[in-house]
Amino acid sequence: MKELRYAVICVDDDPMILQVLAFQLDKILNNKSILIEFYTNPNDALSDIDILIDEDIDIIFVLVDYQMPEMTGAELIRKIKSKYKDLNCLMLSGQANSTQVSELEKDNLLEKFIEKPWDEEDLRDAIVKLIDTKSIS
Amino acid sequence: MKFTHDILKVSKDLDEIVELISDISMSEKVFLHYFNDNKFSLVSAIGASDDLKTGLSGRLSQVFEEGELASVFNVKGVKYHYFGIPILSNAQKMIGVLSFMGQKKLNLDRKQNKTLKVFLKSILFVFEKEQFFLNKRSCLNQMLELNNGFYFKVDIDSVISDIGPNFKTSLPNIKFGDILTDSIIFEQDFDIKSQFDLEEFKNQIYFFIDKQDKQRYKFSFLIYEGEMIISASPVINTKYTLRNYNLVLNDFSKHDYIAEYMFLQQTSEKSLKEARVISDNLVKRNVELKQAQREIGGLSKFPSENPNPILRFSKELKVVYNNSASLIHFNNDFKIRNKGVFDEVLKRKLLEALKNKSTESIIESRNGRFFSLTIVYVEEMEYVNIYASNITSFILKVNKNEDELIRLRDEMEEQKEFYEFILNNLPADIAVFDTKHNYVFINPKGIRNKKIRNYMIGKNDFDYAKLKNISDVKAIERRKLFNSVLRKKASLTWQDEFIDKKGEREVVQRSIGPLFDEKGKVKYLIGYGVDITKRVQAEEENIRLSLVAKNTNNGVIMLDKNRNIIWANNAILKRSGYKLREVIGKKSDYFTFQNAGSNALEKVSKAMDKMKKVSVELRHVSNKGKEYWVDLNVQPLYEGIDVHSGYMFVEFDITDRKENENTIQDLNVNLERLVQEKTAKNIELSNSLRDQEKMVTIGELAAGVAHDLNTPLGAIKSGVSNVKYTLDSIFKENMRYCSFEEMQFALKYAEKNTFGLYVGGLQFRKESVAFEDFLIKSQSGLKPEEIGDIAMMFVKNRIETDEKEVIDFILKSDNTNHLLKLLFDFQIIYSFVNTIETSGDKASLVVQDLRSFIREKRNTEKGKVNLHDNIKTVLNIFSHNIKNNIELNFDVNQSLIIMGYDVRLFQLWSNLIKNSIECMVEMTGVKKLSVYSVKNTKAKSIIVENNGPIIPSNQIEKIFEKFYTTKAHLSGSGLGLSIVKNVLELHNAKVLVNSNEKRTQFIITFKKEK
Repeated sequence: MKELRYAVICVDDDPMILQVLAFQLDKILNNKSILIEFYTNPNDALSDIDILIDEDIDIIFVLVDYQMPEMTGAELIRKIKSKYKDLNCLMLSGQANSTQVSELEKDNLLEKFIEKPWDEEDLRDAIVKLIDTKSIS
Repeated sequence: MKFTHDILKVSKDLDEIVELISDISMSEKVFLHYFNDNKFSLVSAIGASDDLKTGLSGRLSQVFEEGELASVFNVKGVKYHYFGIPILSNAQKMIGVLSFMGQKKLNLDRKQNKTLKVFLKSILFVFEKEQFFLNKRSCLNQMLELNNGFYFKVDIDSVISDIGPNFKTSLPNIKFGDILTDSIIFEQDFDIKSQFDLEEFKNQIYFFIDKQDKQRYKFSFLIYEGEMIISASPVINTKYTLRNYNLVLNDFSKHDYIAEYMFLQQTSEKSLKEARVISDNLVKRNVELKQAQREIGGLSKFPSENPNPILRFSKELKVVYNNSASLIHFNNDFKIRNKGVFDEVLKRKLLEALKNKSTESIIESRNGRFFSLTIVYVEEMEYVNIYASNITSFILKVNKNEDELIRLRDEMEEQKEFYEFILNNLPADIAVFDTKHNYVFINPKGIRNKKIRNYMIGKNDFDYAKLKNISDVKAIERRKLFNSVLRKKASLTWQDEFIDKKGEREVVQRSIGPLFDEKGKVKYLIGYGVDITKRVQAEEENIRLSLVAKNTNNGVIMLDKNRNIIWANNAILKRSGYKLREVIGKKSDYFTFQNAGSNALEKVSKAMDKMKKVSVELRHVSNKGKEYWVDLNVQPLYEGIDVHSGYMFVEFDITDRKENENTIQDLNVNLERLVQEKTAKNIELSNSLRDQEKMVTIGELAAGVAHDLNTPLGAIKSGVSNVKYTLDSIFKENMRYCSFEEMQFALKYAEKNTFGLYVGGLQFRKESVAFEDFLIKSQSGLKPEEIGDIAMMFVKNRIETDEKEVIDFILKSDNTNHLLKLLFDFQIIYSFVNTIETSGDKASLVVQDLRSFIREKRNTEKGKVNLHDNIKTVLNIFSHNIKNNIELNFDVNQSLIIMGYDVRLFQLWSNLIKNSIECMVEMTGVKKLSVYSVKNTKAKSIIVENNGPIIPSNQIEKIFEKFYTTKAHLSGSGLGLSIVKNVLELHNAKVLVNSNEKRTQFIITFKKEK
């Protein structure tokens, strides 16, 4: 097995979305050294992010849904950003006009906002940019 | 008991009476006892014997206790009957007992009783007389003893019957029975015997001395019952010393010797005074004498040339010699003739001088002339000389001067009084100082306290400060001012302002100025202060008032009593356009009222006549023709309390108000017209509003619905895309390498297993490693470099290590890798096809709900509506919004039925639910939405509750207003809750909003239908 050096995190309370994302990301990333993790519970995601970073694994991005029972995606991003301010965060959501989201954008915490339902192409465009910056082989 | 000889006389009477009583009572034995000092004394008795006497005493006590007594007792075996009668004084006091005793019981008839009563009265009379005498006597004795230990009692023959205790001490040789006059000598021919004969009692003091003349007494006496009682008091002086009397001071009754002492003192003082006067006079006379003698000595050498009268007289008072000077007036004045001296005084003086052989100096005046005479006795010739000197002018001068002085003094006194009166009553405080700044005079206003005022004379301000125990700051100031006035010899005036004891402001104007003497030097300085507080206050008040009057925007006109204008302020002048001089003197009637209606003038005139206040609105025209309106207030003015001094007009400019009033009237007319127009439009509007409401609700729903549809549609979309991709992968890649059998196997497997396709990366890795180990152990026959990937593929396919058959089948294949990949693809396809199916179902559900919501047909009829189902439909529509984020509690009783319009009710619930959802969007933490029912006997209630933010109490009413929204930024129409209100009205239901920080409730209550 190739050594793990990178990871991407997806958080959405709807497993169906996660499944779709998984398939698409697999296609897009197609790289065995990139770990793809899926969480329905944002708190689990947070703790795993800590572990991964501890293990020196470079998290390329975190993709979160907005509407979640435990906390909104905006809150989650804020929490992540407060610890790891350089971590790229993307939001996936059916609600475009939340004040929380606009606040995030104002504070420059959101890398990209992807509206549901999304085209695979939109996702690919958003991600590839980020991967390129990491210059992953 | 002792009886005096007087009483002995009386007791003879008693004996007679008792004898008579014995006779008439025919009682052998009769006793009469006198009761005094708690003792019974036998006064008289008939037929008594000593034996009986003892028995009697018992009876007597009984009578004393019980009164009249009849009893029996035995004496030496003999029975006696006893009868006792108490003798009572007029005061009902027992003073005696009459006792009867016999062997027979006493029996008196009426006559005997009567007679007995008469005798008893006589006895009583005698006893009372005796009492009186006894009392008198004992009093007398007591007085003598107490007041004066010095007394004798003698009879007409001077035989001593009683000696006072002090006399016993002082004159121990005198004894009872001695003849008094043997031992003492009375002065002034006092004779005892003759005093007894005198009828009158002489209230006089006499004296006697003892034989040795060592003691002297003053005394007075009293003749009483044949005795002379001499009450004496010793005379104590240098001759008759205390020691002579063998007594000490305590032996005297106090008042006695005090009086004596006082007497002595007075006498001695008087005599001292007299002696002093005499000696003074003597000294004076001596001086005069010496002086005269000196003068005479100088003059008498040449008597004929002496301008003063010199005369010589023989002892017959014949003129022997007189010089010429005596001829002028002297001889005439003193009536000196050849025959002798006929002036009585002079004559006497001359005779005296002759007789006494002495020299005397006197001053005499005759006929308005004064002479100083020295009368000298010349022994050898038995002559007497007169050396006189006419001192008339001197005397006159002296008198004149004295009169003058007296007059002057009186005048000055008067003046002084006059000035003092003025100074003391001026309203200023005045002080006069000497040049050393000491007070010479202060008037009462300066210092009120008389004592302090008097004290301050001769003192200065520093002393005052010390006296009052205050700081001397003011004293230092005053001193400075004082010195400056003294230096400059000119007065200074300044104002002192301070806060007095009551905390009120006082202003005093002070001056100090010099007073010069005849030489032009400063003799005194006079300072005074006048209280000008009121004046200053009035001035300040005036200044303030005039400032106000001048500058106020309101017009002020002052009128005199005759209603002429005496002053107008700037505001009046500005508005009217006139100058002050044009206005003063004008009659107010003309100036003020010329452009006003006559009503106003009449009203004001009447009020002014009655001295009452009044207000009117007036129209004015300025001298430039500009119209303006004022509110005129008229008021009478008074000086003091009652004195009418004029009137005051105050005008408030009300031009603007007047203009506004007119405008408003116009506007009112227009407004009414407008209102009519608008009302018509409104009716049109409200009709379309209902339709609009409906559209709005749907519009708002659309957003939610769109979202709800988006998700399944998205899933379908991506599912389809994924399937397409995978099919591509199957047909282009993996299927080629697999046999038909293998393909069938793969399909079957995929069909059966529905997997959660993707597992988390870490777990995937763990499982891969585990599977790798498994493969190695199981001797799969795989090449080592392949094992890793193959293991991963197995894990990807979610094939577990215990699925032996499957693993064997796959491992047996020639294209294990491709088979695994194919298997995975088939699984993907099935998975996504499922997703597509599920999503499609979801989408149709959403559309179904929406359709039921907007369906028209069911709108028009009222029908039975099951609240539970009705609400459920709505909840389904919002399911997406609710499901993922909000904890929903739906607990509505399934048997709640009401009559209503189901679609309209959809609107009701959907608005409430949507509002709940939207209010919680920004909320952190758990979001709760509850829709539940409450049923009681009166009504059915549905409660839509959320734990979102509080609706402030002042907004609760507003939220139901049309177009009121807090979600403008979300393009909220503000119609939602107004729709709710309409639906409630339609269904005869009410809404109650309960909102606090923790939760907000909308309680919909349907009244029970009849």
